[in-house]
Amino acid sequence: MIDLDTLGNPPNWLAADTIERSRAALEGGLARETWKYSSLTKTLRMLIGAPGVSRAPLADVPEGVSVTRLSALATPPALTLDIERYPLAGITASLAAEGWLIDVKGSPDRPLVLDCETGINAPTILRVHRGCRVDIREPGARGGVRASVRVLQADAGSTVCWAQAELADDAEQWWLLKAQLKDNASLELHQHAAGARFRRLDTHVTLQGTGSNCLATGAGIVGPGEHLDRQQVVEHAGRNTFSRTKLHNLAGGRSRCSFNGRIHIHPGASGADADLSNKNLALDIEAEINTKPELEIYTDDVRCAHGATVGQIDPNALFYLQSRGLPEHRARRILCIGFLTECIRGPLADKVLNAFLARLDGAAPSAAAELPGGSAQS
Amino acid sequence: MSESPLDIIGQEYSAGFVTDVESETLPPGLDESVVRFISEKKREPGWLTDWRLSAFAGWARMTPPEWAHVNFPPIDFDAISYYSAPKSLEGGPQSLDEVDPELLRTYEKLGIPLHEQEMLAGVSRAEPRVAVDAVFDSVSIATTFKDKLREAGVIFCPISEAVHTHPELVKRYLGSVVPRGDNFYAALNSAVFSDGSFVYVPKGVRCPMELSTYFRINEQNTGQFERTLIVADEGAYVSYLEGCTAPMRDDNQLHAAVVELVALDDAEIKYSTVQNWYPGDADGKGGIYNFVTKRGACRGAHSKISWTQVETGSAITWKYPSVVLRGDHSVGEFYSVALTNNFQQADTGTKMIHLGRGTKSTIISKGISAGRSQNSYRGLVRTSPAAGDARNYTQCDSLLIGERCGAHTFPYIENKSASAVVEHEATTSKVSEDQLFLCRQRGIDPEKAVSMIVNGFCKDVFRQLPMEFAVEAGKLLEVSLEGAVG
Amino acid sequence: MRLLDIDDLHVRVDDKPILNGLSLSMNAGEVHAIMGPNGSGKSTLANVLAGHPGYEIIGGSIRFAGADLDGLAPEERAHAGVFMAFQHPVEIPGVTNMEFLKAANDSRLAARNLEPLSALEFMKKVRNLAQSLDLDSEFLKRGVNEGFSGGERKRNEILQLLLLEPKLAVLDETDSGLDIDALRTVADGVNRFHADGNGVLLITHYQRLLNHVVPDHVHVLADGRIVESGDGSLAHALEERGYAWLREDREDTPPARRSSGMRN
Repeated sequence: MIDLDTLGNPPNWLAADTIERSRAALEGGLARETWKYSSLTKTLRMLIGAPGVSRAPLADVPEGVSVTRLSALATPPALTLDIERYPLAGITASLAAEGWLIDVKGSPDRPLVLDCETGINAPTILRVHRGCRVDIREPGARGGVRASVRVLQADAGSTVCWAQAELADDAEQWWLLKAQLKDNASLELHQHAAGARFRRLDTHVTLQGTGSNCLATGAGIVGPGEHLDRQQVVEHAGRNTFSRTKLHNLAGGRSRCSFNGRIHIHPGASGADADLSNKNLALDIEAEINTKPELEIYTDDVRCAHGATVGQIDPNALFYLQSRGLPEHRARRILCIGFLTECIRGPLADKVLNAFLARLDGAAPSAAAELPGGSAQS
Repeated sequence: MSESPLDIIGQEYSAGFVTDVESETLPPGLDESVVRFISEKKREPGWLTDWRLSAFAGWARMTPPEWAHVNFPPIDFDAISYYSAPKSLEGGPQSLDEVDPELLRTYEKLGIPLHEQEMLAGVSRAEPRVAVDAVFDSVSIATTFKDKLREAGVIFCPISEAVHTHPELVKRYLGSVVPRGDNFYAALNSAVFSDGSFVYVPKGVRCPMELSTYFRINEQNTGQFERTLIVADEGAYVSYLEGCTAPMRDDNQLHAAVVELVALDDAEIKYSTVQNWYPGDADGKGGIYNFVTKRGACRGAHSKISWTQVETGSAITWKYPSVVLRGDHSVGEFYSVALTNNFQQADTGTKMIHLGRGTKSTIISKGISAGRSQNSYRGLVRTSPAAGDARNYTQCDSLLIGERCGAHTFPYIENKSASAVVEHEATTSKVSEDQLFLCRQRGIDPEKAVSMIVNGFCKDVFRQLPMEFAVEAGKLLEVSLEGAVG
Repeated sequence: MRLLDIDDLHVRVDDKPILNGLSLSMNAGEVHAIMGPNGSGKSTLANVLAGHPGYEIIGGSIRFAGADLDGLAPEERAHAGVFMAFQHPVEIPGVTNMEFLKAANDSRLAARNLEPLSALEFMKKVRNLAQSLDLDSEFLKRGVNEGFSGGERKRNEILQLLLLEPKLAVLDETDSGLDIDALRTVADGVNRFHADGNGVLLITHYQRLLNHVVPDHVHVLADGRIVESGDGSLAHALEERGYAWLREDREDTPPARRSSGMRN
C-alpha cells in the first residue's frame, strides 16, 4: 500500500482521525469487495499525485444561495463521509486544499452549475433547506485526473434534481456523491457517463426521513480500451421510503464495464419500496461486463426487487427492423440508441445523447456506421 | 385484535437424540500425526497419505474466509476431534447382520431403512427404489443393495472402501473438481476426511435406483468431514440423495464436507440434499456449522448436473453447490430452498462457470427468513470469452416472516462472452396479512396457513425433488417454521 | 331463530372511526342487503364480522347464533359458520386451489371432530361444485386466485361458500366487476346457499345483484351507521335517486331518531 504519512495533518473542518481511519479502511474487506473490478491501489496512487483545487465549485451564485469556505466557519457542518466504506473520500478530503459549503436557503431561479476541475476538488457540502427546490448540474467535461466528493443534505420537504454527465474519455476519475434525505425530501438523479481511461463513480443515497424518495437513472457507453465502474447504494432508513434506480450500459471493444447496485433496508424501515434495474448490452467479443445487484433487507414490511441482465441486441428486434427495409448496421444503431435513451433522462439529456451518438462509433463500429455527422457533436 | 396466542414453543428437533454406543474417538487437536492416524486407520495407500499431508500443509497456511454474511466466534480447530467411530465397527464396514443393533435402531428412528428386506416389503413394487449408504460420525456403517447395483455395473460404496477396490478411479477423480487447496474448509476436509460415498456409473448405464447417503453426527466435539465423489461416465445417469441430522447439543459442531461430481459426455447427475442438521435452540445456542464445498464438473459435451437443496437445519450454512460447464452444450441447474428461523444464519447459493459453447444454467433460489435469522443468497454467474451463446437465468425470491429477520441477495455476474445472455431477477415479499386473513377466514389456523403459503412459495424447487424427498421437505419446512408466526 | 345481532357497534381503523353505532339483527333464512355510498363503512362491517385483525372494536357487541364473537380468531369464526366472500380475493402463489380448498375443508371438519373426506370424495365434490359454477376443473390446479379473472375470483368465492357450508354468508361487493352471465351464476350459487335455510348479508353498492337475489330487508349505511331500513323497494328507490337524498334527509334528522335497523 501507499505511504499516507506524507499527507500531513487534516484541515480543521475534517475529523482529526480521518487519515487513520482511511488507512484502516483501505486494508479492510469492504474495500476489497467494493473495489473488485477497479484497482484501489492504482486509484489511490493517481489521487496522491494530483494537485489540489481550491477554487469554489460554483461560479454563478443565484439569489438564495451562499458559498462559504469550510475553514471560515466557526462550526463547520460535519462532512459525513462514511470512511469505512469510502476510504478514498477521507484521502481526497485530506488532500484537498479547501472545503466548501453551498447553502441553498431559497429556490434559485436558475440551475447551480458545479464545476469539477482537473485535480483534487475541494469537498463540497450542499445543504438544501426545508421546502426549497434546486436544480444542480455537473456537465463535467474536463479530462485528466479528477476527484471530487459532494455531500448533499436535503432537508425536510426539499426537492433536488441533480444531473451529471461525465463524458471526457481522457479522464482518470473518481468521485463520490453522498445524499442524505430528510422527511419527504425528493431527489431526482441523472448520472450519465462514458467510459474513460479510468472512471469510477460512487453514489450513495440515504433515505433517512419518512416518505423521502429517490429516482435515479443513468446511461453509460464504454468503448475500446475504456473503463467504467459505478457503485450505487440506496439505503432506506426512514419509514415509507421509495426508490427507483435504472441504469443501462452499452459496452464494446476490449472494455470493462462494471456496476454494483445495493439496496439496503434498515430494521424498522417499514413500507420501503425499492426497485433497481441494470441492463447491459455487450457489442463485442472482448467486452467485459460485471454486474452485481444486491439486496440487504432487515425488515419484512417491504417491497423490493432488482434485476440485471447482460445480453446482446435482440435478434428478433433486429430482424423486425430489417424486414421493414433497414440495413443491418442501421437497425443495430437504432436499437443501441433506443436501449440507451430509455435511461437518458434529465436536464443534460440532449447533450448526453449527442455525445453518445458520436461515441457509438468507437464502441461498435458496425452500429455506428450510419452516424449523422451533424448531431455527433458533444 | 383477535390474534390467538401463537408463541407456542417450537416443536422439538425430532432427530436430536443421542445414540449410546461405545466409540473410539481421537482426542481433540489437529496436527500431522492426526492426519497420518486417519490415513493409517483406513489402511490407505501412500499416495493418498501424501495427498492428505499436502492438503494439511496448505490448510495450515490458510485463513478462514470472512466474506460471507455470517457472524460467529472464531473456531478453535484444536478443540475438535477429527475421528470418531463406533468401536463395533473396528475393521471397517461389515455385513448388515453384524452391525450393532443400537446403530440400526438409530437409523430406524430417523426413518432410514437399512434392511433391504424391509424396504422391499414397504413398497408395493417389486423393484427397490432407493439404495442407502449410512455414515455414522466418521465411518460408513452399511450400504444397501450393493449386489443389485453391481449387476447393473454401478459402484456404490464407502469411499474408504473404493480406495482399495477401485484405486484407479479414486486416484483419477479425487480432488479433480475441488482441488485439495480450493478453500480453507475444503483443504481441511482433504486432510482429515473420514468417509463418505463413492459412486461410479459406467458408460451408457442408467442407475436402476436412487442412491442415497444418510449422514449422522453423534459424538460430541466431533467434526464430520465426509467426502463424496460421484462419476457418471459417458451417457450414464444417476440420481443421488443426501440427508443429514445430528443430536441436540449446546456446543457448535463443525461439518465440513466436500462433494465432487464428474459428468462425462451426455451424462447426467441429479444431486438432491435435504439438510436438517441440528439448527441450535430457540436462543441460538448450539447447532451445526455446515461449511461445505460442493462442485460438479460437466466435463463432457451435452452433460448435465443438477443440484437441488432444501436447507432447513444448521446454525450456520456456508455452501455454494456449483457447476463448471466445460463441455459444449452442457447444462447446470441449481434449485434451492433455504429456510432460517430463530438465530440461524445461511449464506448459500451457487456458482455457474460457463466455459463451453452453448452452455446453459438455471438458478432458482427461494429464501425464507423468520425469527431473528439472516438468510443470504450469494451467487456467481461467469461466462468466459469461449462460452459463445451461453445462457443463464436466475430467479431469487425471498420471503420474510417477522420484522427482525434479514434477507439478502448478492449475485455476481461476470460476463466476458459477447454472445451470452444472462438474466437475473430478485424479489422480496412477506406473507401478506391479506393472504393470512383469507386462509383464516376459510377456517385454516395461522400456522397451517403460513406453512401452506411457504410451501407454495417453494413449489418450483420441490418439483425438482424425487417424490419421497418432496414430501419430507414439505414436512420439514412446517416443523422448522414452528413458532415463527405470532 | 336469531342468527346475527349487532348492537351499537363502534369500530375504528388506524385511529379513524369508521362504524359509529351500527345495529342490525337478522334471522336465519333471511337475506339482508346493506347498501351505501363509498366510504360509508360497508367493507368494514364485513371485515369486522370475519374478525380481521386490522379493525378495532371500541364499543358495542356482535352475537352470532347466540354466542359472542368478540375475542374469537378469524378461523374460529369461520368454524362457527361465518363466511366472508372478499371483494378482492388475494392471490396465494404456488398453493393450488385444490390444496387450499382441502385444507379449509379439513380444518372445518376437524373443528367439529369429524374425519376429513377422502381425497377421492373431496375431488368429486369440488368438481361438481366447480361445474355448477361454470368453472373449468383446470382452475383447481392453478394457484389460489393466481391469474384468475375478476369473474373467476368471484365464482371461486361462491364455490368456497357452497363447499364450506357456513350459516351466514357475508358477501362484500361480490357483484362488482361481473358481467351479466357471471352475475347470474354467482346469484344462483347464493340462492342455493339461501335455499338451505342460511342467512345472507349482501353488501353492495348497486341494486343489480338484488334483481337476482331478492332481499327480505334493505339497509342503508351512511357514515358508519344504518340510516334507513326497508323492504326490497328501498333498493329501487336508491337506484333511482342515488344516495344524496338520504344525506339531505338526515341533516334535519336529530341523532336520537336515527334508525337502528330492523328488529323483528
